[in-house]
Amino acid sequence: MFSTFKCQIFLTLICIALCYEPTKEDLKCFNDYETEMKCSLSSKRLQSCSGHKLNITHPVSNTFEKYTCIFERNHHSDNCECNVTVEGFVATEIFNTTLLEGSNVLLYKTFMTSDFIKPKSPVLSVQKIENGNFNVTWDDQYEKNGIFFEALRINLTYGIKGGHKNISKTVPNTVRSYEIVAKNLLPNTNYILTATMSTDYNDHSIPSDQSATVEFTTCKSI
Amino acid sequence: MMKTILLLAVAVFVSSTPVTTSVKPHTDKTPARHTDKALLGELVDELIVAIKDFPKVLPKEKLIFLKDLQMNGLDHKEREVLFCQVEQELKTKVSGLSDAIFDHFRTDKKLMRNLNMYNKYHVKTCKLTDEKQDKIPLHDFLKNLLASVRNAYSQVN
Repeated sequence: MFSTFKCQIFLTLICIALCYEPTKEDLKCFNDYETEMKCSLSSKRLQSCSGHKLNITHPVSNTFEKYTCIFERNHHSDNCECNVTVEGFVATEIFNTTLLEGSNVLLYKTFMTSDFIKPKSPVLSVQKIENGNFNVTWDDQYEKNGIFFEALRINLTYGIKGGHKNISKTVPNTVRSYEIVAKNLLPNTNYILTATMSTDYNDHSIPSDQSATVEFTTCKSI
Repeated sequence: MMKTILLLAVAVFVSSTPVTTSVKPHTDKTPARHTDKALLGELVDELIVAIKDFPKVLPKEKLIFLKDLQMNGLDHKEREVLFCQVEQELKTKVSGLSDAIFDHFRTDKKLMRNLNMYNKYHVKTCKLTDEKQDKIPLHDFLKNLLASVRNAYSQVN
C-alpha cells in the first residue's frame, strides 16, 4: 500500500513537472511608445518556444485591433521573444493578451500602455571641447518631438575603465547635452560612459536597455 | 488505482487552469495626474500637426462647418463637457469623411484616440448642443480647441 502511495505521489509530481504553467512574472511586455511592442516569455521549464504565441486585442475607440505575436528563441537571453508593430500608442489604452500553446490557453494578462513603456536606448557621443571638458550628446532615437520627447530623461553613468566607482547624472532629454568637467577627473585616464532613458509617463519605473559604451581619455595634465 | 487517477486528474486540472492577471489593475476612475497630463499634452501635439497640415484654402465642396462651441472662459467641469461635445462633433461630421485631408480626424488616429481616452475618464456622455447653433469652419474650430486644450494642459502640468 505504501509503494502504491509513493507511486501516486511520483505520478503527480511528474505531471506537475511536465505541465508547463507560466506565471504572470514569466510574461513581460514593453512598448517603445512609437510603433513597437515586444514581449518575452521566460521560464526554466519552458523547453521550446515553438507553438507558443500571444493573441493581443487592443481596443481603439469603438473597434478592436488584433495582433498575433509568435514567440521565437532569442539566443542571447535564452528567452522566447516576439514583437508586433502597432499604429501608434496612447497613454491609457489597454492591451489584452492571451498566451497560447497551440490552442491551449495558458495565461491572460492585461497591460495599460503608459505602465509598460520602455523607451529606446540612447546613442551616445562624446567630444572633447576647447576648455578641456567633455561634451556628451545623445540621440534619443525618436523621430517626432512633442510631449513624450519632453517627458524623457537620460541617466548618464561614467567612471574609470576597469574601475568600480561610477558617477551618475540625470538630466532632462530636452537639454540635449551634458558637460563633464575635466578637472573633476583623473589625468591621463580612460573613462567609459553609458546611459539609459526613462519616462515620466510611468514615473520612470522602466529604464531603457543600456546604451553602447563610449570611451574618452583625459589629458596628461588637467 | 482510483486514488492514482484522482491525484493525477487534480494535478492536471490545477496545472492547466489559465492564470488571469492584470498588470496594475486599471479602473475607470479618474486617472493619475500624470496620465491627464500625457493625454492633454499629446492632444496639443496632434492638434498642432492637424492644424499645420490642414489646407488654409479649400474648394467649396470640401468646406466643413462645425458648431461654434464656447471654448474659452470655462471652468474645469465646463471644459470636460466641451471636450466630450468636441469629440461628438468631430466624430459625426469629420471622422468619416473619405478625403485624405481629414486623415488626422479618423477614430483610429492619435488625435481622436487621445480625445476619446480623456473623455472616458472624465465625461463619457454629454448633452449635444442645438444643431441650429452658429457654425464656423473646421480650421477655426481646431484653433479654438487648441487654445482650450493648452489651457487645460497648463493646469495639470
